[in-house]
Amino acid sequence: MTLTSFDFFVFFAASILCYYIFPEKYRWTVLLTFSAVFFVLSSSPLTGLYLIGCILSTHFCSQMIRKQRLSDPKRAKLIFFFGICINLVMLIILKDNGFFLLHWNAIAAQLPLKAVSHELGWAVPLGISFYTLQSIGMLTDTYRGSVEPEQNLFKTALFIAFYPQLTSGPIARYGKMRDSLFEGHRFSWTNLCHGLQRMLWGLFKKLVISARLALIVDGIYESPELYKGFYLWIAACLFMLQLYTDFSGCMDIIIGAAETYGIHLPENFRTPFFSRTVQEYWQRWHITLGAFMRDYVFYPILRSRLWLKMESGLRGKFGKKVARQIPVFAALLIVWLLTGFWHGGAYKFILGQGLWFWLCIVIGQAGESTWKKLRKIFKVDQGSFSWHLFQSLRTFVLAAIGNIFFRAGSLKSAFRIILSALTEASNPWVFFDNFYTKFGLTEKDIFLTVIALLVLLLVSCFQRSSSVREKIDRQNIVFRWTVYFLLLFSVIIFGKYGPDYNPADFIYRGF
Amino acid sequence: MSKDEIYLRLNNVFREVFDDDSLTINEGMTSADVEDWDSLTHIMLITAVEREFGLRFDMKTVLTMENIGEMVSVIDEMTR
Repeated sequence: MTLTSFDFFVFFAASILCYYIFPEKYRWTVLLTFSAVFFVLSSSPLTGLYLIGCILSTHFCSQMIRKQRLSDPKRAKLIFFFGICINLVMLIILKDNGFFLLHWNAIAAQLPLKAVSHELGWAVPLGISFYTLQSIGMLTDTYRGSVEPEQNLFKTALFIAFYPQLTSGPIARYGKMRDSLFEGHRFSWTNLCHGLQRMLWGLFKKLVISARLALIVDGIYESPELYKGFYLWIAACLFMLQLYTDFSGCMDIIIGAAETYGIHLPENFRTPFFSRTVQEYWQRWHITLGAFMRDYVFYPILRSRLWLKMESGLRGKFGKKVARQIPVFAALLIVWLLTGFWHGGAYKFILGQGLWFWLCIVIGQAGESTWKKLRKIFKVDQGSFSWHLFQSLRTFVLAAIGNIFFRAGSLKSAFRIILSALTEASNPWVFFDNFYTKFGLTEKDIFLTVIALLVLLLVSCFQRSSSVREKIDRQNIVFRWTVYFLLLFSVIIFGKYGPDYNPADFIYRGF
Repeated sequence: MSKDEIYLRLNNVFREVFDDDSLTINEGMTSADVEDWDSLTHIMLITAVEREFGLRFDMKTVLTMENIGEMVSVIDEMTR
């Protein structure tokens, strides 16, 4: 069952009804029941054993950490690492075993060691990449003393497996979620309406925009050797838009669904294409993943004894500024390698979603004094619209290059695409020769997509200053309902539901 | 150590980390008030502050300190 399927909306409607029928004190149990049903309906039920394993280990390790934290800190630390290891081992073995087996077999071929089959072929539990990080966050916050662990096992289960966010996040923090998640919320017409509006907006992004862009992107990436130059740049840029509308559309549906219960999940996107640097981009794109990596990986590494010794050692040789920067860049490298690996156990992800962005950030930071001098020489007005536009376009292109690796079939294919895009000439009239028709799109589809993207741009501009829904709420009733009906009928009439439609095709659902 | 002395020393740390000799901190100042104060420079700032005062903040404090006034209060408490 996927978030854009009819089954899901029936399921969701039933959950809302049950939630508000039940007494307030027990409403969280309704969410837990529906989360369990959602898991069974959406994936192989046997893989639920891993989810249960994660819940049990997280819950009981948290309890033991709490008891031992002050009386026996060493034991508490041991239990903490044990809990982390159980979750990480499950994630790596189930999701990324192919990556390690590939390397093992390569080593085994050179040595008298036995090679194993390329992949274990085990079913990967739904949402394992997301709920594992949430569990690790909960364990870490308990260990740090930031939160008191949940005493009720079933409430822990709900936090980890809450169905709207199970498949694709956002990655929530226990301390911030618990009151909202477990408190039985009174029915609020505002919450219901706002939640449904948000879900509708997500469906618009996914079914009207993303599904159409996917046709061109998939068509070119299926056989990239047939295309060169501009075509590949178009595919790269369209994939950025496709990925954004798909993933953020998914987030809108998830956050909107939670909102109907009165539960507020953290935001995962904040108009990322307005970002002026790659660093800012990752503070606006997949926000909860970036925050997780910052708080649970980056900061602890930087504050470790090894890193502090590194800084002290470098001070004498290179001065204070460089001594501060090098350990930061080294810690960032680990963070970005992990980020890339989290996206997928393959070098194309490690490079494209990891190393590439690390390089962009380091060049930006390390070269700051040079960039400052250049801006002075060229008399750049940093407050001007044209400069902001340049920065945003530059960031978009850099992110698009990184995402070529994400989308390409392999590392080799990604390099080939980038090389061709940079060096091979192609038809400069590509924007005027109706090339899109070979991908199953008509002129009407293109016109519709352009209009939809302009609507998205307009909404994004409004979102920079305040909530669009609240702005609409303040308008008169005719205007409001015109907007709602236009959006609804856009999804119903213009949503791409054709024979190629596959509700499973949320890109990030694969994680 | 008085709070005034803490502010003076902290001010020097801020000027060094942000490479801005005109920067002057105040109690209510947050990351929103200083250009380039983001998650990267925040952790550089924290380690510089720890080095200056010979302290070590726990992770909970590092992540939850909201403004300069709070930072000064924490330093004051830890250096007594």
